[in-house]
Amino acid sequence: MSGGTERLIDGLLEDLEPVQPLPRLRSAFAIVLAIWTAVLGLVLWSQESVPGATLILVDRVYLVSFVGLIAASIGATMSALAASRPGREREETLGLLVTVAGLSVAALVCLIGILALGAAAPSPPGADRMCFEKGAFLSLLPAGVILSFLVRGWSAHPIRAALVGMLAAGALGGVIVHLSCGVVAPSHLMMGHMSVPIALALVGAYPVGALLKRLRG
Amino acid sequence: MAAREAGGFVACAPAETDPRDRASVEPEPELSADETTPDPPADANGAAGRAVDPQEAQQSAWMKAAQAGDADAYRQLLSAIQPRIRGIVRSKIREEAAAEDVVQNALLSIHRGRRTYRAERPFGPWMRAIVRNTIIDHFRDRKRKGDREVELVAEEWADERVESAEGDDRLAPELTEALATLPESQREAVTLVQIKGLSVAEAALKAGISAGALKVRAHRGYRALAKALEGKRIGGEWKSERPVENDAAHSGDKT
Repeated sequence: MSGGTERLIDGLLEDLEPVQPLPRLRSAFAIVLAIWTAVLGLVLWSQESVPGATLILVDRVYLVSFVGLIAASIGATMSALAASRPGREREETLGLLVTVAGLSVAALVCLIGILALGAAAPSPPGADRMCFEKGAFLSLLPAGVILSFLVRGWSAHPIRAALVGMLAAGALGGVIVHLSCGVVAPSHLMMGHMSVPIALALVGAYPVGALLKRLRG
Repeated sequence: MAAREAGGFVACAPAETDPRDRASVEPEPELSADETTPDPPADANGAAGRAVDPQEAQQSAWMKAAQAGDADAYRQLLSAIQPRIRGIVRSKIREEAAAEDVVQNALLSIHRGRRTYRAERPFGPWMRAIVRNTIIDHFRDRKRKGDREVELVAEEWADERVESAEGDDRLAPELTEALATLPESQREAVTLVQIKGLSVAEAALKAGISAGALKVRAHRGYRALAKALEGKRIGGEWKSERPVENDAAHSGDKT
């Protein structure tokens, strides 16, 4: 053993303080999903009507894109929580696969809808931007929740952890907008709803990842 | 746009310079199955789904005690895992000084990440995941290093340093002056690594930051020092009289 390593161990022992272990992965996952459900329920409860809930039953594109966003939110949540714990690569990868599959299916069905309907189902002016802004705003609280879990962990790949964390929050924002919006145009679903998790992930991944990298030590 | 910015930043991130890491550049390793195997699924009772290795059970118990603040258990744990970590690291990094740095960084990461360990999970895969990522970080750092000039300055300065000196009172006045112009964080990083001769992990622990962040600060410090010292050396010699005992030997090295 080198003298430097000996000194380091002495330093680590001096620095030792009691710590509270992170909750089990499944407990953390359950907590976050409960918060997701509460946020979703609260926002929908505060609205006068939930047209999206009806559209899901009658429009296939609406239904499939909704299921895709839900899958992306759940998968990304699992992946982000697992990414903040060393040795949980399997859960991290599984969550990432579910996320990619959910987003891909949702995007694909929207794309097919756009190609099939084209100009027959135009998006109302300003609706894309309004839904996007609403979704992004509603993603902020979930992003804070997921961040609070991430900063307490130790991420081997902080940027990746941040990316999936932001995807999880953004997808939840997309789900909320999806349920509260009454526009069925596939192009609107793509630009106003599906774009929320993508945009949040692209914008938030680096700063949040840098923060995680700084904090992890 | 954001994606490009993020990607660009990674590409342009300052090289993390550890002058002792210069001896060899190994290719990024293919990690063995033992190091990449995730932990087995836990059963309903939370116990790992395989026979528990007594050694691993002991280490798990030590870590649990360490999480509660038991320093004795922590010392035993660190002493016990050190050869294992060194074995993994040395199988990927042949250069001794670089390998020892990685071992220390891994120990520091284990310390910083100890909150993420859960006693019902096997200890080995948790530890190996951290060690594996520390090794990968090491190779990433190597790839990122591009600013050879700054490395050279750090290396030359390391040569100038009097090995037996404890403080900075024996540094050339130009260096002392230049050091004083650095921001506090950079000065601390440079002082800990170059003057006090601590390893990156030790310095990071003392500064309360990650090893990576310390390397970045030190690197920026070297760059600022290089700028501050521009034109202050003539023919490889300091302008003022160097307070180095074996001056002749050093000047011979600088030709």
